[in-house]
Amino acid sequence: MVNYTEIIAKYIAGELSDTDKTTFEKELNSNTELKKEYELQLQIIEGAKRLGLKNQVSSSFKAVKTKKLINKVLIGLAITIATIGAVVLVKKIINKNSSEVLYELNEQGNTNWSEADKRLESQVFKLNPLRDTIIETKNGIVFSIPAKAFLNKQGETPTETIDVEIKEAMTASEIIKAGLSTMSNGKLLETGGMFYVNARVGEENLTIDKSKPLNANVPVNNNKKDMMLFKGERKADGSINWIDPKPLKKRLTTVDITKLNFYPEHFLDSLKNMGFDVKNKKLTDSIYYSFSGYCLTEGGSITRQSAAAQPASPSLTDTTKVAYSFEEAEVYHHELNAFCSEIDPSRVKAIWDKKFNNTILATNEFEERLKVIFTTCNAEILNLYINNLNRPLYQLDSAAASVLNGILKDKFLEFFERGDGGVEISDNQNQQLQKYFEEKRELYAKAVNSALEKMYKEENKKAQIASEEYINHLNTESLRASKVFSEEFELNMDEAYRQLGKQRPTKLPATNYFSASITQTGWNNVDKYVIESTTKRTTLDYTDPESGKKAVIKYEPIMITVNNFKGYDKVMCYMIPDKLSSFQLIKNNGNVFKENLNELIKYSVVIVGFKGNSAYYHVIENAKTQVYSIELASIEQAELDKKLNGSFGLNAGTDLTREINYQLFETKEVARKKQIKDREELRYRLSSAVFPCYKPYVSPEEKLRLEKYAQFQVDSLTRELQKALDAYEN
Amino acid sequence: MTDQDIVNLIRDNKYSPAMKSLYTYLPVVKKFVLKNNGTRQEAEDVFQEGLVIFCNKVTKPNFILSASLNTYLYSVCKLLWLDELKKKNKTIKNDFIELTDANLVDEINDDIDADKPIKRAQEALMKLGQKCKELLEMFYFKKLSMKEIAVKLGFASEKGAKNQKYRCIEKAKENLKHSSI
Repeated sequence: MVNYTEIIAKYIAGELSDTDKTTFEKELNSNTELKKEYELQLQIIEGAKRLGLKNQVSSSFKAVKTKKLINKVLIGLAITIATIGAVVLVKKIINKNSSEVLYELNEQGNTNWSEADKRLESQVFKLNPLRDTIIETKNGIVFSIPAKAFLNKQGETPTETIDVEIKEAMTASEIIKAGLSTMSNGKLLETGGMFYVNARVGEENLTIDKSKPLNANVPVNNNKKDMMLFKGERKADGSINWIDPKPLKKRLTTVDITKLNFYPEHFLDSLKNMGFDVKNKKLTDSIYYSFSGYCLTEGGSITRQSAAAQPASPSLTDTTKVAYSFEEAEVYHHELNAFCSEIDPSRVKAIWDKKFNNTILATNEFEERLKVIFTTCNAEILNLYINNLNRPLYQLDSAAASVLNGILKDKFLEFFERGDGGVEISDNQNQQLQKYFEEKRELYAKAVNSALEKMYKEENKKAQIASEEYINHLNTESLRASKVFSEEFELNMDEAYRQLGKQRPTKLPATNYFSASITQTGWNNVDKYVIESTTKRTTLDYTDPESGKKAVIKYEPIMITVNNFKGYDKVMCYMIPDKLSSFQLIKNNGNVFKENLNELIKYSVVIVGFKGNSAYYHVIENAKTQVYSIELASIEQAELDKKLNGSFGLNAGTDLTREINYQLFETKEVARKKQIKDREELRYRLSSAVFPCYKPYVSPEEKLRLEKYAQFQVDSLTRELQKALDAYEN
Repeated sequence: MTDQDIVNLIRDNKYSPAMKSLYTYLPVVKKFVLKNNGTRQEAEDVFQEGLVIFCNKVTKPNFILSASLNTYLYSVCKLLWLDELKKKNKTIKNDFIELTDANLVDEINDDIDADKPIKRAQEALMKLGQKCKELLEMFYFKKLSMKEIAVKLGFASEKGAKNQKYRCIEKAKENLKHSSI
């Protein structure tokens, strides 16, 4: 039996030799069993063919079914674009009177013209096929025809003038007049208009070079998102059936990219509220880009935080200063612990560049998406758009939507449904721009990072110097003050003993008056009162219990107020006593400088105001115990130095000059710190606008977890996005 | 696409584009079947059977299209469904018979009758293993060479594939004999 099958198969396949074949045929006629087997085998072969056919039929059916499903969802604009057939043709022009058909054969090379072909007027444009051409039809369809778009039957661009024939039915009445229906396989379509286009040289049909498609812009009143392009198929009865729907590409209009707003949504508003000139793009850019590296990058590495890790040393003792440096440290603290898988401004700077003009990025549509991309806090979503400049936006929107959740997903779905197209761009250009982006992004990130690093280093250095200066000043000042105090005390003591008519005992050691231990009785009382009087600057009124003699040294008040006190950063007031070697500080309560003057001493009073880098000066010679209201006058620092050195004793002048220079330095230092504080506060306040997902306080464990999660997210996102995009390839 | 275009495509073995056009006739057939005690699934099955008969007819060397493709396909499906209903002992509604051209009805009935043994053979083949089915389909329908088939189905040699083919035919013949009895 097996032998039968084999030999029958060989016979049927024509594989037998002539002699074998003759033998076989003879046998076939005489051997009924063989004959039966033979017929059975033929039947099986037919069955095998049928099996293949059946499979073919049902697989096509599945394909059609899927397509139908899509049709149900996307029924829309019916535009006919007759693909141009490549068949040679001939001669006779059909009688124009009876019909609008100008040629014998249609684009497919046959004579099957529909009613619409016959009723709609042909518009024929003669054009040079070697040039880019734009033509506009009577109803306003604009075709842009690239050079060499048409090919003749040899597959070459014709050199002679070509005729482009267009028929259009854009209004309801035209459509009805043309007898066009908007049926697609029995389903009614809502139409945005129909047109027919064909190109010829003489009578010869031309084809369109697939790499240079024509672009037809059809005027429609309401651009519905799911309008589609249908192909018209002429039916035997003269009607047209619409098949092969293809989504319409809404080509995007590009604008100058630098005119778009690529900042995060509330960034400019915030700046405006803070009083910045938001029209000054240089300024707003510099503020925005300075946030580069503010967050951890997606690789989890700390960028410039390392440079800012050392806050200015809080060694200052003045309470307001401590507050400053404390807050400064706070700000740094936020940054150190900041975690945000955010879109770094360096990325935005890299694309906000004229280089990206004429890409999908230079469109109002992208500007709108970018606002939402910021709120995803995910650079991968931004990269999706940047890395696929050659794709239409709707594809990227759907890829983005596929990896997002909740409101963000809805947002991107909403974008997707608009069906925004793309901007044509060559692969080469696409690649070059990717490269450009990566290079620039890195460059900007590094530039901002190193600039900030440098700035923070310098600031730390300045803060260091300031604190050293402060300590120096504190030391010299306390020494100087105690020296002056001791001089005044000596003066008072001498006077008290003189009035009591007694000999002063041996002087106490010149240092450490405050802790002088009084062990002797008797005269100790006078000393005690004089110390108290000198320290408190109150009148000494002492009666010697033994002799009844009195010692009186009067301290009487002087009061000074400064006009426009609030206009100065700081006002200092100094008494220069003629009998002592240095100055004494007059304390103030607001604008009231009050001190008691020692009647034994003649005083000059020097008042210095500081404002920014400038100094203001007033001097009261021979100050009396009265109330002064004085006006400060601006003075150059050199002039001030000269005055201070010239007017008073050598020592007092030098000390005062040094003191005032220090005060000037400190004023500047306070201003500098305030500036830093303002800046950091500004950055802090802006950070939520720049980084919508910014989390200032994150524990180290949380940070580690988030970093890991972010890395995982980036990896899986990249995969997911690619998957979503690949879906469009098929 | 004209009827002739579709016929040409099928003859050139270009089934996909042809099928795409032919499926535009499915709704009419479906409507009819649904109206006459059929389900959606049955309508699709009948339509596919109709397509198979049509395609088979088209590939015959002496084929001529005696009616419009639309009419032919619709009529085949109607008659096929009539057979199905007879098997189920069910009647049809009055509006069924509207085929006026007696010659066409005869022609189609002949086609359906001619298809019956082939369909039986196909069913016999369906009972074979997957590899046998694929092998025979590739050889007789797709007209691939044994060498190509050997590669595609992973046979060690062309000869091995050939021997397998004989065994498959053998088995199919056995199946067919049993089904005939």
